[in-house]
Amino acid sequence: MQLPVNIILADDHTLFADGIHSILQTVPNVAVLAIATNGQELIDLLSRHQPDIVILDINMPVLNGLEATKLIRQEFPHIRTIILSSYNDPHLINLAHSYGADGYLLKTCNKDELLQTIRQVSKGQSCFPSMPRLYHPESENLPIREFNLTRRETEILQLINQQFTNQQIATHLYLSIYTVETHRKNIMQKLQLKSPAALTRFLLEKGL
Amino acid sequence: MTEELFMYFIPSTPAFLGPIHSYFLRLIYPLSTYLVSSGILPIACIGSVSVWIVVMLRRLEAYQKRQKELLRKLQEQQAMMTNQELDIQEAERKRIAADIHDEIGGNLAAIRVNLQNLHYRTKQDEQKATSLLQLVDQTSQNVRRAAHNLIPPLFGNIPLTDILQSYFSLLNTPDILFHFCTNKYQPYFDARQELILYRIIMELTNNIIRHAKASAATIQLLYYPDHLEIVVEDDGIGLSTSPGRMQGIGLSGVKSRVRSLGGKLHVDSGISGTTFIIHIPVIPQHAATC
Repeated sequence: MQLPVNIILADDHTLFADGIHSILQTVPNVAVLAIATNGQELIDLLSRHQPDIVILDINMPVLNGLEATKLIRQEFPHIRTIILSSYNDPHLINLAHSYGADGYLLKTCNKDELLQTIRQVSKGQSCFPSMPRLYHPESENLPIREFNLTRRETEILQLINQQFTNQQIATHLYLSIYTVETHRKNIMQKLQLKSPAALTRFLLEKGL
Repeated sequence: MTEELFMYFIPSTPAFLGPIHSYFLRLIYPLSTYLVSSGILPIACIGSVSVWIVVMLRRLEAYQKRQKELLRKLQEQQAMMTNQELDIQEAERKRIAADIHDEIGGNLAAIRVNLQNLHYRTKQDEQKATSLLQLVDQTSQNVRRAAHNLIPPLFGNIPLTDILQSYFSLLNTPDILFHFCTNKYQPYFDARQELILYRIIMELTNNIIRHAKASAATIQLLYYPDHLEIVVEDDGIGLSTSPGRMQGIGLSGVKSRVRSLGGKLHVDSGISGTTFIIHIPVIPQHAATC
């Protein structure tokens, strides 16, 4: 690491923060200025210290890490933030990203990953774990996938297209008429159509 | 009794009353004939009987109304008790999850980072430490999963659909393909109500994993202007062929939770699988503020 990097840690679990601290002490050009035990304490510390990077946990009392990140982005836009959390939920990682965090690390990371992330973030890059994506196999090759129809709804739409009545669809798919009616209502909502005539027109236009 | 009194009364009428009596009769006879023949008397009779009937019907109605009111109050009380029970359960879960995650999870993370930071004299020691690290990792993963199952982190601050999207994208079920689908999230419900909705979906999902023998399942949350519709489908063996699934604690929990939100549950089960359709109305004053 070329330039000296000043860091503030924030974690309510002091033993963990001390552990990270002692790892970082062995690294040249990295200095830990202070350790906060909650988000509010961290924000208070920032008015006295000028760190380059803040490494913070999500789950903290008083002010959680995500809210703190948002605040730091508004109040101290030059300070970079890395979330170090045990949560690997994609929506939390997304939220951290949208709140302006520069990096996200899981607490199960090893020393090299930690240092790598600090290095990247200090260079102005962002560093987030790769996230699993929802897989929609049934909607892959359908012309109507943009409408977010499920497999069952597509099936019903095809039967409607073949002039099946609700009762006939129910018998054909071994469903109750109420279930078919509900699916039909949901299809209409997803396609943003108001009347059966509009549905017929839609099916014609899509060439189904 | 009245007849006897009358018979006693007539002969004892004094003689001087005779002319008056006959005059009275002469006057009263055409009058009564007139009353009967003109239909006034029959109409009056029918009228009074119908008034009586109406009064009785009214009374019956009022009685039924009162009974309905009592029944409603009883149901309300029952619903309130279920709600309180659910609230207590949720508070307890939250507390246990916080304990597990913060205490045990926190300590494990601290053990891990400090273990990593030790300096080992021999290669053997380092290998031992590495296997210990793996064990710590495994344990903290289990702890995280346990806490997560009790209540997802930061519940109430994050849209329910995001939490579910994450859940289903991380759900690792080799035999069943889960598909989660939702339209635009609407903040119709408060955190407490969203937690109830979350529990309903989790229970139905676990039910599919444990009993349905399905190969695919779809979970949908669709927000309409006046209600939320939850559709949970699977292509499994249906409820009737899987004993214990309908009576299971899970489904009765689903039912009472749906009821506590004032919703309706529709179950459609057959050889093509099972479909749960849950309709949750948006509370009017809540909708007005959105």
